[in-house]
Formats: sequence, structure tokens, C-alpha cells
Amino acid sequence: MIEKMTKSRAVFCAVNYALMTLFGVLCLIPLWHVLMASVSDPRLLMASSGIIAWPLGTPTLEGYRIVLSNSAVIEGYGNTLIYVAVNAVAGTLLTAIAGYLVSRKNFRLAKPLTAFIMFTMIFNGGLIPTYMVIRSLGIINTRLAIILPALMNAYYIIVMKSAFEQLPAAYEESAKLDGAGPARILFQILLPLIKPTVVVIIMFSVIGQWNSWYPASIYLPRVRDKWPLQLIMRSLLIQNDVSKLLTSSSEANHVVNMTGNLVKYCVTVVGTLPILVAYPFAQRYFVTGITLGGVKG
Amino acid sequence: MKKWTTLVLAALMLVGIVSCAAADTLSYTVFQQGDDVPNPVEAYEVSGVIRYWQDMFDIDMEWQIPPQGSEAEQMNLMLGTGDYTDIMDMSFNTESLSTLCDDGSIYDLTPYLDTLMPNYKAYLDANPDVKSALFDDTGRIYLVAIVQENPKQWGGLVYCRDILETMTGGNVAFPSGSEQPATIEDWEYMLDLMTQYFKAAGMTDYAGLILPATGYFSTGELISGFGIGGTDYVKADGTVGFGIAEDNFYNYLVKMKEWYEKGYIYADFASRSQDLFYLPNTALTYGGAAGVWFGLVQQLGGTMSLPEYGLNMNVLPIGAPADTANGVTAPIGTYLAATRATTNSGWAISTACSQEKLERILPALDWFFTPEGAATRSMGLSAEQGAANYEEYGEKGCPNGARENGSILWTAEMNTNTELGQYEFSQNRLPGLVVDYATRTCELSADGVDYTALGHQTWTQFGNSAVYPYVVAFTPDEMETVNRLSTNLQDYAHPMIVNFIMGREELTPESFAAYQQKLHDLGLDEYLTIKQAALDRFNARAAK
Repeated sequence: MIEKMTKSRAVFCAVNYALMTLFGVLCLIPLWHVLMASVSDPRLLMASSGIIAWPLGTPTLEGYRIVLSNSAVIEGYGNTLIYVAVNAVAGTLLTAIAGYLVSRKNFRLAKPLTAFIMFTMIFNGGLIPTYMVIRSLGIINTRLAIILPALMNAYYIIVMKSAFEQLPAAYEESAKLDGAGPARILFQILLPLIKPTVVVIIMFSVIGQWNSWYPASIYLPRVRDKWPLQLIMRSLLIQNDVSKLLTSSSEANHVVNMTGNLVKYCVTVVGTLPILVAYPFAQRYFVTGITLGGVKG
Repeated sequence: MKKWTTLVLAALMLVGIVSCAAADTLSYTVFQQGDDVPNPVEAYEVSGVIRYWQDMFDIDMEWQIPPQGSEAEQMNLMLGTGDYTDIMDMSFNTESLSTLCDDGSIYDLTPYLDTLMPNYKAYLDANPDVKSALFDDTGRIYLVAIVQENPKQWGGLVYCRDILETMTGGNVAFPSGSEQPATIEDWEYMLDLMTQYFKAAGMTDYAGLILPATGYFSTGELISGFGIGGTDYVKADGTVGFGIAEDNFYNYLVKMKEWYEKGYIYADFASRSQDLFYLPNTALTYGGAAGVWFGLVQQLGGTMSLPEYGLNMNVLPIGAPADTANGVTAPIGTYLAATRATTNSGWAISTACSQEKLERILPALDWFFTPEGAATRSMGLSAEQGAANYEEYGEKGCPNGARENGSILWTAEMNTNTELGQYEFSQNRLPGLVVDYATRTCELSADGVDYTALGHQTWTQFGNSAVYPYVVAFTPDEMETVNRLSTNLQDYAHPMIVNFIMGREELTPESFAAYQQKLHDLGLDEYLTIKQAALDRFNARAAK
């Protein structure tokens, strides 16, 4: 149906577009500021205030050279990719199995299990008890300390459960009549039907793991070569905090390292660009994926 | 057969010797912060000094460097779970060392001083100020500390001399006749010229003087010219004072209000609460739009200039101005970097370390308090110590890169190896005595001035007798009360001070008296009593 464009609707659309454009610009300004600052002259950057619209002084890639010449950054990228890939694949798989299990009406433990899962969303053991569990598993300073705890996420299980519950029971019954077992029903029949939800969970897992630095800072204290990118980036950010550079030494010969200010911006770009680029590709699934699990028919 | 038996026996013997030698090396895990070292693990592992030291004492360090920004959390986690490393850098510890010892987390080192650490003990005995900073009230010590032989002041008030030169055509004439601004009148002369300069340059956002958002430097700069300290300070008679509650603070407020009205003080100072006091509004300071601020030694001279943009700055250190109109002939001594050792700066040995390992590591750490060890930790290896055997010295052109025997001059390695952060590690991370070294040629700026020395001399010219030592120890109960009262006092005082200066609150002797009374009502007397008692105990330890 083609909607008639009345005068009031035209005004509404114009205002709507204007506001959305303004909102979009407001979202883009900080990104643009960081990008321009990252290629600015570091000394001029130190003396600047407000939004940077164009590079200050002669554009320079010195900050990027410093960041990318740090071997730990490349190593961090590799580690993050491992954590992201394992978490996205294995985590989604386990989440799907758990979601399917607790969504089955004929499964007696479905409700207690759901309650148990919900309980963990509200209460957790806290840092030290969790650390002690990880330690007693003997996986401190190993990659498993990052991968294992992140495999299951209660929120994702609930989303997956809701998505399965939206599907008509006839799909499963027909499959059973055709002799399909639970695994075949889950992976070949039901999962493809909730593809948007699966994509959203994968994307959430990827973003979550990409941005994750805290568990590594706790569980990988002695193995810097297993640190994810974000932890290395965070260290670089703090290390290059201009206040630290200025006070790290009391000697006048330790001149102010202006590039430290620049490096902060470069670190931000290097750490966020890949995920920013990937995000739009999964965007079309987002609304469908989240609402699919939230609407009761 | 005989040959074979001999061969087998010899091989066994060799294996035995090798394994004995290997077993003799003791390994230690070390929790060590590395926040200002770009590649801390690498820096510590390749350091010639560390390797030389390890070889000398048959020890091996395994470094656990917490991620930057997570040091305190890692420290707490370690203490909370009992997962201690053998050695712990206590920079981020917030717990009292005596509590940690009583809880069985770290060793009390007092019984070992005589037998295993004679050089450390001798140094402590010879330096009561260091001793009182490191021993607790029960006479115990828990730390092998980093002790500064002569700490340099790292920052203080600075001013742009170039502005004055420009405005007077090189004929700067302070009313006091001094070369540098020394009195309130001198400062008014200076601030007036600066304000004229900024206005003539068409600047809209400028600052003659940048005050902290609280309206005063709590560390005592500027306010000391009025005969008082910022918050805690020690008066001439040895009693503890609270600067912003003293009578002379009224004179300070009157003067700041006057300067604010004349436009000498940065108009927007009160809104800059996120700025660090030693790094105020960089857009103004680095943009050439500020005249006087709390600066750093690294900013002295022409380092802030931007000649390609016509900005030629000459930043010089400046002392507080004496309020001669109110009878103050010289500022009181409040310079900051006077403390030579603290209980947050050094290594504690955890109970995870066995007795055997403890008895090996303590003499090794004691070596850093010998003249040779102190020079080595501070300046690098000498040729006599076999600097040539250590890779990075070779890379830097050893033997020329090595320290001369018996000299405390820097080695080429220490001069140039900033990438690995050797300087920071040796100066600020490794326990032992940081020797006072001679100025290096590379410390001189292009104009040949030793700004480190100039800054130190200017900022410390009035001494530090009025400084309330921040190493004074409180009991947990005292600490709780002091923190609570301090928060209450400052929460009330800071907005009032800003309002007085900006004219939002009427400033009269009566209103100031009401302000003082309110501070007393908020518990100022109790606060000062606790502070005084702690200071007295501290001084008593030094006298023992």
C-alpha cells in the first residue's frame, strides 16, 4: 500500500529525518574527533580543546606506527581472535542446546533449570570465590580461564529459550514422526528457523569477547602472551596517559612525551575499528533477532 | 670394561654436579608493577643489573607484572585469595603492613636485620627520618624500601618569563628589586603585565594565574606565602595546623578575591575539577595562554615552545610570594618531595617464600644498600663488574657504555635505554638506595641550563619544615576518623573558598569567622588532635 503523503505527514517526516540525522551526527562526532586526533600533530593536540574537525598541523601516522610496532598488539589480535572464535562457535552451540532443553514443555526439569539459570543472572559468587573456583580447576594462566567461564551466558539462554518457544510445536512433532532424534530436530529443523536469534547471539558473543579485558587481567597474570587485545590496549592507554608521562620521572631531561597523548587516540581506533566495521553486517538481524524471542503469540 | 665404568661414573658425576648447581639457584616469583615501563617483563628480564645481581646471589626472578590500571585489584586479589608471590611490590597496597604481618601474609623483617641485612640496618640507623618512615609503632619493619638519597622536587609554581620580557622590552623590574617575583607586589606587577599581554593578543580564553578548582593548592604552594600551609602543615612551634582554617587564610582569600576581580585569575578555574593540580588546563598552558600555574620540571625552559607557530615560551620556576603587607617576610617551607622512603615503596617478602629462600633473598636485597650495590642499581654496571658479559651493554658500545669503576655517573645504557624503561625501573621500582647522581650532560637543555637543578633549588628554597609528613602512620580507628572528618571539613570548606574568591559569598572578617566556627563545629579540633598524636609518635620513632 502506498501511503498518501499529506502535508502533516510531510512535516512529520521532515522533522523525523532531521532529528535522526542530528542524532546520527551526534553519534559520529566522537568517532570523527578520535580519528582526526589520532593523525594530528601531538604538540598541537596537547594545546587543543573541543572537537577536532580536521587534523591539527601536518597529519602524522606516528601514533599508529608506535601502536602497531608493539609486538604485543599483534599478539593480542591473535589471542582475541581465538577467544572470539571459540566463544562464538562453542558458546552459541552450548547456548542453543541449553535453550532448547529448558524450552521443552515435556521436560520435567525445565522449570527448575530455568529458575537456576535465572538465579545466576541476579546473584553471582563475586570476584574472589570465582577466582578460587577457576584456580581449583587448575586453569589459571591458561586460555581455558578465559574461554570456559564465557561459554554459557544466562541471558543468551533465556533469549534462545524464548525463541524456541515461539515456534509451533508442529515442527518438532512432524520431525519426530519422520524419525528425527533430538539432535537432528535441534540442529536441522529448529535452529535454522530462529536464525536471526542465533546471529544476534553470535554477534553479542563476538562483541562481548572482543571488548573483554577484565577476566584476562584476573586469570592471566603471568602469561602476557595470552592477553587479549583489549587488555593490551587498556595498558597502552593508561601507560600513555599524559599525566603519567609527565610525572613518571622527576628529571628535566625526561621531556614531555607528546606522542603519548596521540597514542591514546590511535589505540582507540585500532581497538575498535574491526568491530565497528563488522557491526553493520549483522545489523539487519538485530531487531528481528531480539524481538523474536520476546513476543508471545 | 674398566674404561666404560669410568666413563659412566664420570658422566654420573657430571650430571650430579650440574643438577646440584641447578638446584642451588633459587627462583622467586615477584609481583611488580610496571606502569611506567613500556615492556616491563622484557625490561626486567634483560636488565644487565638484574642479571648481574641474580648471578651474584644464585637467584632467579620470575616477574608477575599486573596489567596497567589493575595493580590495586591484583594486589587485593592476591591478598584475598592467599595466592601470594614470594616477593610483593607494595606500591598499590592499601592495607597496613603490620596487619598483613599479623594476618600471616608477609614476614616481619626486624629479626633478620642484624644477621642478614647489616647494610640496610646500618643505613636505617644512620638516617632517622628513613627509619621513622619505615618502622611501625611497635618497632617492626616489613619492607625492603626504595630509599632516595636526595629526592628532587618534580614540580611547583612556574611562570612565563617570556611574556614579561616581551611586555617590558627586556626591562623587567619587580617592585622588590628582586630578579624573580618574590612578594605579592611583584606578583601583581607580573600578573598585570600578563593580563595586558593576553588582552593585547586578542585572546578570549586566557589565565594569568591558574588556581585549582578548590581555590587553593592543598599542598601549600602560593598559600605558604601567607604564612600557612594548605590543609595539614606543621607550624613553627611543632603543632599541626589546618591552613584553610587559620586566621592568615583570610588574607589569602582577600588577595585572591582582589586578583579574581582584576582578571588575574583564570575566570573558569572553579569548573576544572577534573584537572590534576600539576597538569591544569593544557589547552591554556600548552597554547601559550597561561601565565602562572603549577608546572612540572619537564616544562621548564623552552620545551613548551612551538617556534613554527610563533610561540616561544620561556618557563621558569617561581617561589610563593611573601605577603609582606601582612608581616610575612618569607613563605613557609612546604615543598613536596621531601620524603625519602615510604611503606608503599619497596618489596615485602610474603609467607609463600620459604625460610631457605628468605635467607637467600634478604642478603641479596641488602646488597643494594652497599655503596657498590646502590651505584649499580641506580647507574648500571661498571666494566669491572663485567658489563661486557651482558648483551645490552654490548649493544650500547661496551666497554665505553659501562659505568666507570667507582663512579656514579650514568652508563650509556641507562642514558639511552628509555625504551626498556631501565631508568624508571632502577629509580622507582628496585629496592635499595637511589644515589644522588651528578648532572649528566644530556640533562642540560639546549641553552645549557640545568633545569632540574634550577627547579629544585627554586621550589625548595624555603625548606620543608612545615610539611606534615605523609608517611605518618595512623591506627585503623584513627584513620577512619581522620578520613571521615577530613571529608566533612573539605566538603564544606572548598565550595565556600571558591565562593569567597568569586564574590558569590560575602568576604568580611565576620563571615570568615563564621566559616572558621563552622569548621570547628565539623570536628576540626578532633581532627587536629589525632593528627598531632600521630605526628608525635612519628617524631618519637625518629628520636629513638
